[in-house]
Amino acid sequence: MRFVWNLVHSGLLVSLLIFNFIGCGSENETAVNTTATNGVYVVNGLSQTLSVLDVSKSEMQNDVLNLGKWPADIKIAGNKAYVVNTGDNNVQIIDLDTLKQTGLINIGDNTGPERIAFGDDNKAYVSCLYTNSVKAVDTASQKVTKDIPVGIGPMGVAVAGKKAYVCNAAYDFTSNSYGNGTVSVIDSSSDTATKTLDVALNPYEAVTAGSKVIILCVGNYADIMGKLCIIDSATDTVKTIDLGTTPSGIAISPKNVAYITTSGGLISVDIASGAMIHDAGAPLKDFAGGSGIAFSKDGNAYISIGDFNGGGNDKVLVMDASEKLVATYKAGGGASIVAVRD
Amino acid sequence: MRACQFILYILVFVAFTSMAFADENNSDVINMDEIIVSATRTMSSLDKISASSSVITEKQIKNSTASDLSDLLSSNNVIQMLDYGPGSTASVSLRGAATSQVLVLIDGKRINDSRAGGADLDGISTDNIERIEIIRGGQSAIYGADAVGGIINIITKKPKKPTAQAWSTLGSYGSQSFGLEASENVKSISGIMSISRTASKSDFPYENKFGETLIRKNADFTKRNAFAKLVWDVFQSALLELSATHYFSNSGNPGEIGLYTPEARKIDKTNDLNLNFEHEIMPQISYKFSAYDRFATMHYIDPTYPFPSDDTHKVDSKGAELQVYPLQKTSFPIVSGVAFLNEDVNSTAIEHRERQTFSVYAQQEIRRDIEKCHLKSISVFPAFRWDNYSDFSAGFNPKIGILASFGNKLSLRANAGKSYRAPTMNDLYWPASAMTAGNPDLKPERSTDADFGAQVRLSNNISAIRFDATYFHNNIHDGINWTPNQNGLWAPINFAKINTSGVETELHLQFSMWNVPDILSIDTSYNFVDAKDSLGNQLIYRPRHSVGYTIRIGKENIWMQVQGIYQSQRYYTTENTKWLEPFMRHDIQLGTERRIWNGTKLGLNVELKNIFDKKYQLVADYPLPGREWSVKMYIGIGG
Repeated sequence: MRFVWNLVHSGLLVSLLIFNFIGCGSENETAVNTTATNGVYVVNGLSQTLSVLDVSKSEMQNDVLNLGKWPADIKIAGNKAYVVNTGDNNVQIIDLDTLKQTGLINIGDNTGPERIAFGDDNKAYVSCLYTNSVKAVDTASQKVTKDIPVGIGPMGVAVAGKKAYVCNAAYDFTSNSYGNGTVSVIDSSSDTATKTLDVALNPYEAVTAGSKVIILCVGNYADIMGKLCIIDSATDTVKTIDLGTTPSGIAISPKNVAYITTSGGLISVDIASGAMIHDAGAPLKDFAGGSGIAFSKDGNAYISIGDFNGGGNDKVLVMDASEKLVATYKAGGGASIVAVRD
Repeated sequence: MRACQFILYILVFVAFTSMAFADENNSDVINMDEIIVSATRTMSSLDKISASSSVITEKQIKNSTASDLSDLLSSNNVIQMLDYGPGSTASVSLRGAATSQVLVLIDGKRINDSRAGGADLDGISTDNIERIEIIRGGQSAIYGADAVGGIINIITKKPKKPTAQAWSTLGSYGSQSFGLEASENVKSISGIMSISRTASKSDFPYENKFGETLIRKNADFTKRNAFAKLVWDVFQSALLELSATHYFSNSGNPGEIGLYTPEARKIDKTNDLNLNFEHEIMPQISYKFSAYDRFATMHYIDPTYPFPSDDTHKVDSKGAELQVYPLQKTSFPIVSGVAFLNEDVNSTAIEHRERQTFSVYAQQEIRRDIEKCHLKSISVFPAFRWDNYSDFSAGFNPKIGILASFGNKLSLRANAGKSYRAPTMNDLYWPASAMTAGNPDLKPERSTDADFGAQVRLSNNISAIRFDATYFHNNIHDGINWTPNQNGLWAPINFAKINTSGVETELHLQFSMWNVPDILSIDTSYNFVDAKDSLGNQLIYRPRHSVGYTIRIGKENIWMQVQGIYQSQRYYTTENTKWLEPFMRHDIQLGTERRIWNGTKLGLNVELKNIFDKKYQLVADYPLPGREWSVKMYIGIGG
């Protein structure tokens, strides 16, 4: 009897051991306590979180909000940020005043949304890589209103006037190669693709500079270098500029200059003349390895450098209007896309 | 601090239980001996080896309704499973090591895929398995590549006395299986053969990210398995064994939540042929010669845009091994051997590749009996292995183990050694494209590990207790990671550093009452794993805390078993920003067996898995079924 009694005691002791250890476990919580009226918002692709740089306080806070799987784009409209999550097939709507998610637009299973651009009347266009189409979205009701077929492998999308321009990267997942790069032109009144423009290989990003649409063509990451295609939205004519390197991200400065991130540094092109300002032979080397880039109205550029090895060396560099490096902030894992609210 | 707390508990526990058993009469004790061969390549028992080990016994396998190894192991806490769902890939983790760092063997022959790394436990039928031996900690000094976290050795069935058995299982989501097994002896030749078929629709409900309840589609599977083994006692001291296995599986691949692959299919075929010849030349010297051929084909086809694929991978592994056992039945037996392995890979991804491996190994047990301060004996287990690969350098891996036995009640053990993981052929030879490229200059991942622990064994005529506790530390360097270079090209490089430490505890209680042996048994285990990358982040899918329990009550002919597992949160982003929630799952089994007429038995096993219908995932976005039931009925003649 004494033996059984002692056994029971032993069992209790072991139970204590087990549950004491369980009790020792610390459960991480993601803090959400940062807001910034003038802020820089950085999508961290590896950690799948949002970092926020409060420009007025020069303070970066990382991992302030969980994003979806494979976040691929962030755009700001008013006090809201729209984050496109490719792996979750949705667009997260984030209130930038509270840094809380206030809505979610379900783009649809197996759609692979990549980029978003805003038109008039609460309309947004979301390019969908897996369906070779663009979804027209009503941001008020947070519903997809139309599926618009475009070319193969849609990526970047930009709106100029009453037209949306969609990059068709034409990547063939089977042969690991690229087809002819094109841009589909969507008439936003009817939400139909009305025209296809030939551009250079692998058109990846699209941004608007006044009435012009700038298409960043990346090349094949090997022997075919990137090009910049400038589309006049009035005539849909295309002007092509050789970049001589493999580009990554693009943003237009308040002075109407396109700044392009590359592994060797920042290169730039004057949009009006099409002339290279800093070419691949003489880039702004302080910003080598950049991926995402965005400008504030005061002419400062915010450039993300992601450490996709997971080594934690992710950062955001600040370049002032005189093209000098003026600040460096640590960013979250895999810092990639940048957006500015000001 | 936590380690100190743990050691304190161990000391208190050891003292407490030793006192509890101090006055008991140890005659006619319950026998808890469990045979294990994998730790030293010779037959031993769990308390006679220095390695931390577990055995899943024939009885545990027989009582389960699981048709494959992943299903069987998912109910206990001996190893961590990474299960993509019914019929899909299932891989393992031991001591925080990745799947490709755990070596899986069948009768001592490696089945890890040299093309992609790791082993898929979903493709191993339980019908062929007699028992499973799990050795934790680095074992490259004994088994070569990939034994960084430990090894899992699956021991196949052997012919016994003449028997025949037929069984059938029905379960939820359209699962059904049936099988036949027969064993026979004719003079000096005995044989066993079995065939089985398992199929399931696996159309279980799950919840997507928008809170909608959907039905899992394209998760169906069909599996066929055939196994035969012949054993011939050639003469009194020589044994010839020939075995063959055929496995076929056709399974759907439903894809992850939101990115479905409704038409993807995976077809696996594996044929195994093994020959073993053992000969005892004299009482102190014996040898064993093995030759084997394993031919595995995997065809994956998925027409779903934008990632359509139609890939076929064939791996033909032919090997031979000669083991010599000098100085057997002495206090310092040796196991030594040479092995050759040729792996021939034909793949639509990496084309035709070949790898030859030549290995030399030796290990010894040096045992000295000591009668001093309660210390009865000390055994030292030095071992080394040298592997020469045709396409990279692996070199020399040593290990040493020490076992101090304080009578039959307490033993202390410690181990230290070096291990490695071979770069896979995908790592080395993945064709260069716009996005990815292999790296033929890769080196193996290296690890240095050490552990120490204690085992307490106490028993009397009505009960027995065994408690194991081990602290371990493993330092991995030159870890292979696929990362993008400055041009965005993803390629593998040797740079990762991983530090893993933790504790493992196992408690086994066994009771005999009312003249019924082993009427009640209780097993619990608790693992703490701290697996950190160079930034201090916990590795993905490694729970810090995991707990398992099994309570079984009853006799051979009627029994009930309740078991459960708990896993704490598991991160699935390397920055530890996202995680899967903790879960606790409980299963219950009931079994009965009746002799219906002379020599004929009829048995029934009923199993309810995940009885509280817990929603959980082991891999993010790959849902697992909720509550499941299955009923197994069998009829047997003889035995």
